[in-house]
Amino acid sequence: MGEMELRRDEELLAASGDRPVHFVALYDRTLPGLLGYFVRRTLDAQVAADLAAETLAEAYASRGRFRDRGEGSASAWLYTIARRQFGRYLRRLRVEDAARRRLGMERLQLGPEDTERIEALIDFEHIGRQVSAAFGELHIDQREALRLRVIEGKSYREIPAGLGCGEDVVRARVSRGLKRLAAQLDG
Amino acid sequence: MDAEDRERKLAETRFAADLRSQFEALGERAPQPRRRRRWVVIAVAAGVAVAGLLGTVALAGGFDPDSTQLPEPPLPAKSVYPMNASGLTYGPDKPLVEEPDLVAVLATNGKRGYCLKTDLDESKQPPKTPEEAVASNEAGLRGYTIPVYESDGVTQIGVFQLGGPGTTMFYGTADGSKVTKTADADGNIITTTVAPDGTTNIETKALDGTITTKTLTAAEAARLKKTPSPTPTPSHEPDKPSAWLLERMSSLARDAGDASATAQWELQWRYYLKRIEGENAPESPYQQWTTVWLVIMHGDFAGGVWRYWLLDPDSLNVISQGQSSRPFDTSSHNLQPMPGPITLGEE
Repeated sequence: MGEMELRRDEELLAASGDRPVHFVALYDRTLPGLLGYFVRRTLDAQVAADLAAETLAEAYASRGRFRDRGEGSASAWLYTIARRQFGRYLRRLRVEDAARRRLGMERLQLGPEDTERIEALIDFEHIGRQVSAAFGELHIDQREALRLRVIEGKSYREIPAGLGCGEDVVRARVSRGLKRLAAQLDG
Repeated sequence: MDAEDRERKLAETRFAADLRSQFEALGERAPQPRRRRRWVVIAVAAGVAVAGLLGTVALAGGFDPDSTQLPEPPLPAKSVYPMNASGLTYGPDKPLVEEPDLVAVLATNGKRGYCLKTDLDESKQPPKTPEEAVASNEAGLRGYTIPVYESDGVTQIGVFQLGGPGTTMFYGTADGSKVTKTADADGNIITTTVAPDGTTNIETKALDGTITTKTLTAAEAARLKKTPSPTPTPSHEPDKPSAWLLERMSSLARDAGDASATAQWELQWRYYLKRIEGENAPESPYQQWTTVWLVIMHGDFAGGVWRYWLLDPDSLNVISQGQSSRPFDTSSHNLQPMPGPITLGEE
């Protein structure tokens, strides 16, 4: 067993400031968990892979700021970055790549096999129950807008006829409904 | 394969290997990260004043100088709205941008004003208990109002209606049933639950909480479906508007100066009636294909004996209005014969 395998996550992260190779050891330990975290929330393997890569890139770029506060603090620090990445994704509906660009990292496209393995982390039955419950808790206006746009796949031009409101209002309801749905599923 | 095995398998993916290579390459070429320690040195060198300031703020609980938390990204949205004397931002809500403190709306009396974001948010908060969920949904179906203010956020000029008749809720349950909820003109909440085997339960909950239920077998429900009535079942007499529209029209007639005016009404699908509005069309988010209630009245009004109003069917807000001494020529707008007229103010 090597030196790195004996170390705690916090020690690896703190040591990676001077010796970046330690970050690779931390990467091996944390990537699967991060992919699972993101794919269960986005239900999209490529988006989950991008979010995990950007989270780790931001963590790498900021590793000098980490302070070891004991067992679990590395994980808490990393998932704080992950949560914020996910929040930004929900607000903008696109994954940021600022940290990867700053570090000169390439965006990686998933192949079919990788996609399948990442999607295997999703418990669709459980998610289905969660989505159903969270959907039922949305405000009625947002629920209707989401039903027409997401479930029935109607265009924003068609929807106002069903809801009796403007296209801008529908867009806002869909946007907020998705955010609230995601927040509830995340919660 | 359990979840743990599946997560382990991820380490063997091409993606994981390629991303790992990128981090390995970074380790070989990247400069050392900027360390917090340097900032501490700079802060100390900056002298007692800075240290004192940091200490004061830290004591006030506003800043933890030893925090490992990343700073929150600045929120750009506040800057896109003007600010009133109380420091509250106001303006029309912009999708994908943070809402202002006061959100621009049209009040039910047709006045332009602002609702407090907190009032609007309250209506969107997820319920804490099943009872709250039911009450919230029913309130949404029946409709309710919140105050509309001037941009100062204090002077109330009207109310804004949320939800109301015409709103329908659809959702599924864990056992596969499909549920539809709606409110009729009298405020009854009608819940139709169709089970996977086709059994249909129709529950009607009155305003006083009284519940009546009717259950149809799959065959009965199918028969009912195959023999639809020639027109949708009206919740009001065909030549009369539903109660909520009647109330709205009566209120408009009263405000215009003749509570006993005659009224006609129709739900229209059109490009916001720009042809009627002409160059006086107000700036509005509704300038697009949408449904509107068109209400035309004849009575003893100031400025003319004919008036029309366009109502947002979602909120019943007035989105446009006009007046004339002659009947409006609606022939060029492909209007179907409108119901009515009825005389308002009569029992």
